Amino acid sequence: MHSWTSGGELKAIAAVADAFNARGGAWRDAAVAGFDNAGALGINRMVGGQAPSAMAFVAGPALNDLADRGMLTPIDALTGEPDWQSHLPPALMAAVTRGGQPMAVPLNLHEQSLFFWSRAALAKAGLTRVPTDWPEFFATLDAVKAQGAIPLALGGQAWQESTLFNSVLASVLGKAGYEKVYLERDPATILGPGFRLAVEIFGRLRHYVDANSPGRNWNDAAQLVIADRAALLVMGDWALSEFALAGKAAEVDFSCRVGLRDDLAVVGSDVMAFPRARTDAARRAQRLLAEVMLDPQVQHEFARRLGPLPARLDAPVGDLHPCMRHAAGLMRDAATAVPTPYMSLPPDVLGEIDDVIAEFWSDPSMSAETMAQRFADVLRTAT
Amino acid sequence: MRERMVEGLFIAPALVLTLVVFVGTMVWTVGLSFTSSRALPIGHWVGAAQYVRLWNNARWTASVENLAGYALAYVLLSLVVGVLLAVLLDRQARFENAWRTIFFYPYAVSMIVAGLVWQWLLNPVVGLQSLFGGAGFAWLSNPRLAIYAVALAGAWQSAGLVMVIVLAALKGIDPEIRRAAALDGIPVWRMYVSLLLPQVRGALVAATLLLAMAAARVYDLVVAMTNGGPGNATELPAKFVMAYLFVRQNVGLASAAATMLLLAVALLLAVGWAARRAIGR
Repeated sequence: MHSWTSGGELKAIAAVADAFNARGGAWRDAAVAGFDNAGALGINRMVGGQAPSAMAFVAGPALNDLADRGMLTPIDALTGEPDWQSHLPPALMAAVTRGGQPMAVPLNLHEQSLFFWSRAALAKAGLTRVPTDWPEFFATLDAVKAQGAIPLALGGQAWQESTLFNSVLASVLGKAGYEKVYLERDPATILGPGFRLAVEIFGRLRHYVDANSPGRNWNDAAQLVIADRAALLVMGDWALSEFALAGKAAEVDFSCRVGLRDDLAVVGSDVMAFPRARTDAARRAQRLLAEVMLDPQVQHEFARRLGPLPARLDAPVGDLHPCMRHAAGLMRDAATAVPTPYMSLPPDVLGEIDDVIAEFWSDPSMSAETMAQRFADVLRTAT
Repeated sequence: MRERMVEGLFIAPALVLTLVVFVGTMVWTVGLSFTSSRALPIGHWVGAAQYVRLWNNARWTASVENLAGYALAYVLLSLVVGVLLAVLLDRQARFENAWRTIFFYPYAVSMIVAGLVWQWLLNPVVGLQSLFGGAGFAWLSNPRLAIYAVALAGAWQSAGLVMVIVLAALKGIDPEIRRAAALDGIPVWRMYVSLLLPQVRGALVAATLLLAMAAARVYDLVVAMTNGGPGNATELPAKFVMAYLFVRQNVGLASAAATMLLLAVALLLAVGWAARRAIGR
């Protein structure tokens, strides 16, 4: 059960299904439109005793409750590959491990702080290079604005605003500071000057979006940059498929950077969990599916069609999108990658952080101090 | 006696169904609101902790405030427009049936469709704003006005219902009263305000009650129009419940919020019941 339902996504999941069927499995697809809907339905089915054999999640504490209740099968019981964990990034394994047992198979690595710059929009403003520090960044946006184009293409939905905020936060605080905020929930860092600077930069960006931003879908925001009507999109790697579909070439029509300075990746992961099965046939199918999904070749094919990196570090990346080949080095190196908040915060806390970010974005009268205080309060009172 | 038993036998399945499905789930929800349930509806007793957390949650308090603004604007606007339409049609309008159908028609449109239509109308780039060449209609991107834009769309949808209820009541008034008022030379507006509308106060209370209940559980309209934004300017309690139940994996908190909604609706019913007793219907 999963929510990969767009054209490109269907092709990607078909790569897994084909491999599964070729090895003697019988794939029964339960695609549900909408990530949230699929999660709700999956949990309802598990509670009702009609659990799907496999269910897609995002790596992180969203799995914890199910794992704690013994509703998921530990992956070690499914795979015959003894050292499979050593082929995956340690930070990712930590996010899917509960009670010392890995509870899901990581499928891919999503980079979620890509800066997409339209070369044509920059050229029209008389610029030939993408900015690499904040003063130059704002000078660039001002120049684009002066030309009458949209400097920043943003869909005014809470998760998109959070994606933008976390990208800014990672670029301002760097790896150590970012992890102090989201992994250690350190109040001193959140109330400190670095975090406040990130909030202020985020707030300044309000002046660079168009009036039509509220409620816009992410793919519509991507289309603005693809059509060169907007200069910058900050989005996850799934936006690459939109650029590819429009026939846009990396570093010719657009530039992609991992964060502002192209030096720190914010990485999330799609994972597959296996609810406890009731029949031997279902258990056999789960073992086969786990084996297929851990296969580096299958992971590679799934990633090639979907857009991200394969989760396994030993899977080939040679023919992936140039942007991802470029990002792979940063994403696979623990020193230049940080986990998305999804990896460390339970869904209710994550939602409340989204609320704070969205409220700050839509209320220019809220000060950066108030925002930081509210942010710290959410993490402090969360269990 | 025998007949009584047979009657009871016929009603029993419906009664059991109502008790188990409606009352049962209500009791279960209230029970869950006192537990620490997260993704799954199992958890231990935590007393009123979820309620404390609920009322400390900025999104919940904003949702309650938004609901107050929405309900007030929506109920008033629906009532005023609905009553005006009813009065106009009551004046022996030509093509009355056609008008009545047209004005009632939005009520047949689902809230999702109404929300999408108004989202386009109020879109700052392609909507009314561009039609009238300038500013003044970008309500949906303004955090202060967005909730009233939603109320406007809601009232557009519901005014027809008020019209039908009030019109039916007006038609039921003894024609002699109108004739007497006309003979005495009372102006038309005076006749309605002082004579006719007070006579249909029962219908007005019923319409108000219906509107208030619709306001308390509004969900789809907001999802279609703004999805709660900008910021949390149009977040509403029903949406809060859905978010914590299905996305944010906190069944306990969602149940506490749902229980608050249940209390609010029960309160409305009690007020409506008292109001109808007070006016003797």
